[in-house]
Amino acid sequence: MAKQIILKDKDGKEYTLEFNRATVERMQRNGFVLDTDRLYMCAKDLITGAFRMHHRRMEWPDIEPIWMAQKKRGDLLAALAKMFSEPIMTLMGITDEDEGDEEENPTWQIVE
Amino acid sequence: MADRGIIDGEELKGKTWSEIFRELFPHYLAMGMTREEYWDMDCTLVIPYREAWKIKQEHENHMAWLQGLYIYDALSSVPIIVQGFAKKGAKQREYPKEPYKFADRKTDKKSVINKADKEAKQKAEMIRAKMSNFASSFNAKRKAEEERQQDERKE
Repeated sequence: MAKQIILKDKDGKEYTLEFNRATVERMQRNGFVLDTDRLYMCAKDLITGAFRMHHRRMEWPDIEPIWMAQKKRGDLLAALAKMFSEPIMTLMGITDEDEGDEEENPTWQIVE
Repeated sequence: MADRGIIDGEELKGKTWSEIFRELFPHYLAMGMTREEYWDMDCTLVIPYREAWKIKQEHENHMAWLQGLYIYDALSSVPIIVQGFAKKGAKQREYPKEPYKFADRKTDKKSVINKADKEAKQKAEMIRAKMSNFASSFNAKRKAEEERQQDERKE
């Protein structure tokens, strides 16, 4: 099963973040380039794209307060960047086998 | 590495991910995947489809071998007609004990594939390292900012 990130807003409502090939293709068609050196620059599009698969109608104004409510956003952003490459990695036959125990986090978790 | 993709890395060099998705799409359609499964659903679904495809290919290969064995047996059972044309003292060639392996034909390609795999792995490792660096610097900055704010409040 593909990696997902489940995060909760302030009211405890859950949101599932995941990438499929359609969302990755669409993001790239709209000019998105994952710049790992300057992740801040593409963070907004990366986060919005991650919502696209399970919450199609949500746009940045809806997403931003949920994002800002999260703790360890740097780790979360890094995890999203890694997840973004999963649709291509699975095609290439590369799987992630070195997943360690994720640190406990009260507001978001990676599920497989 | 659990399994390998259907096209080797050399063929995909210099292409964007979207191009690779589109290029491989017909291959997965041929394996029985639907458009929705490939584009919209769980991206790891391609792995069991590839495994299933390999099993199917092996099965077809085995069936072809079995059919060949029946033909061989049939020809062997009519020695007067078949062997009548053979030279004197010629030995009958034995039928292969098992089907030909698909992998044998790809041996020369193996080194190229391994090289591409290695490069892809290195790239993934590099991204992973960058991600963890980024995360730690982000968290450090945030912590420093929080401490600064706390100090300001105290003052």
